[in-house]
Amino acid sequence: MYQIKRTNKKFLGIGLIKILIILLLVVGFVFLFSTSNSTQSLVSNASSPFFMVGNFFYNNLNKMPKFFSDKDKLVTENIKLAEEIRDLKFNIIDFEILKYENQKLREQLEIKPIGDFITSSIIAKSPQVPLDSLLLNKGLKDGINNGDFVLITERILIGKIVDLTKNRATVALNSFADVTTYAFVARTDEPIELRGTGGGSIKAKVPIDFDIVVGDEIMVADSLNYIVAVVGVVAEDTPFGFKDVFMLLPADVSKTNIVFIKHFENE
Amino acid sequence: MSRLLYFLATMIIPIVFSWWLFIPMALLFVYVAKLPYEVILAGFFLDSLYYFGDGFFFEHLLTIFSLVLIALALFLSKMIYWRKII
Repeated sequence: MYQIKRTNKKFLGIGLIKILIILLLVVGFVFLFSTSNSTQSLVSNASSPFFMVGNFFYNNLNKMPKFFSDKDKLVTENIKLAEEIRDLKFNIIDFEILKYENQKLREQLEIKPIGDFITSSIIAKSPQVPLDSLLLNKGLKDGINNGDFVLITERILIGKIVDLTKNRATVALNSFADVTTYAFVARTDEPIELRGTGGGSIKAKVPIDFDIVVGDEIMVADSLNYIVAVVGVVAEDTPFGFKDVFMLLPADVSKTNIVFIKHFENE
Repeated sequence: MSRLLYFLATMIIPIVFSWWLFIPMALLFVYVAKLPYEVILAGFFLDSLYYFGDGFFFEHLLTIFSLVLIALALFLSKMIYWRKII
C-alpha cells in the first residue's frame, strides 16, 4: 500500500523567492539610475549640503582646542599674528610685482599663457570620502571631462578626474590604490611606472642599477611637465635585483581647498 | 517612523562624517529592525556618491555589502531571536 504524504516543504523556499524579487528590484533600480544622468545629478545635489556640513566640521575640528586656551596666550599670539600680517602684506606687494614681471616676460617670449584652467573647490575629502579621492563642486556642465588633470599649483599634478555628474566631479589622486601613472625622473629623464598604494603614498619597482635617489622629482609630460611625486625612500632588494621606490604626493592635499583642472591633451 | 528616521540617518551620517560609518550603521540596522531592506537603497545611494575604484565590484561595493547582509539576515531570520527594537 502506497500513501501520498503531503508536506509543507516547497520546491522554492519563500526566502529564496523574496531574495529574487529584491534582486530584480535592485537590478531594475540600478539600470534606471545608470541610464539617467539627471537622477545622478539630483542625488549629488541632494547630498552636497551634507558634504559641506561635514567639510566644515572637519575644517574646524582642529581649531577646537583654541577655544579653551589661556587669555594671555591669546594676546601674545594676537601680537605675533599682527606682525606676521604686516610682513605678509609686504610679501604680497613683492609677489604682485614679480607676477606682473613674469606676465610681461611671458608675453615678450611668446610663451603660451597658462590660463586655461578650471578652478574648483573641494567639497569633501578623506575621511568623508574614501582615502585618496576628492569631491569637487564642478562637473560636466563646466566643461570637465573624465581623465582631466587635477593640479594644486601650476606645476603640481595630484590626480585625475575619474567620475562625473552634471555638477560634481570625483578625483582619484595619484596615490589611489592601484592607479598607474607613467612618468619620468626629472633629473635623469628615465621613464618609470608608478603605482598608487593608498594613503598618499606611491610605489615603483625598478632595476637595481636604476639611477634614483631620495628627493628626486617624478614628472609627467603633457603640454608642460608636471610634478606628480617626490621620492621618499629607496630600498634595495639585492637578491632579486630590484629597488623598491616609495614616493609621496608633492603637496599636502588635506590643507588645500581649491584645485585647478586642466584638460588632458592626448597627442 | 523610527525605522524611517534610522534609514535617513544611515544615508546622512556617512555623508557628513565618513563613508565607512555606513557599515556599522547597516549592521546595527539589521540588529534593531527586522529585515531592513532599506539598507540596500542606502548602499546604492552612497555608491553613486563615492569612488572606490573601477569595475563592477568597486562601483557597487556598498550595494553588494548591503545585499549580502540582507541575504544573511533573511536566511538567519527564523533561526535566531530577533530584537525588533524599531
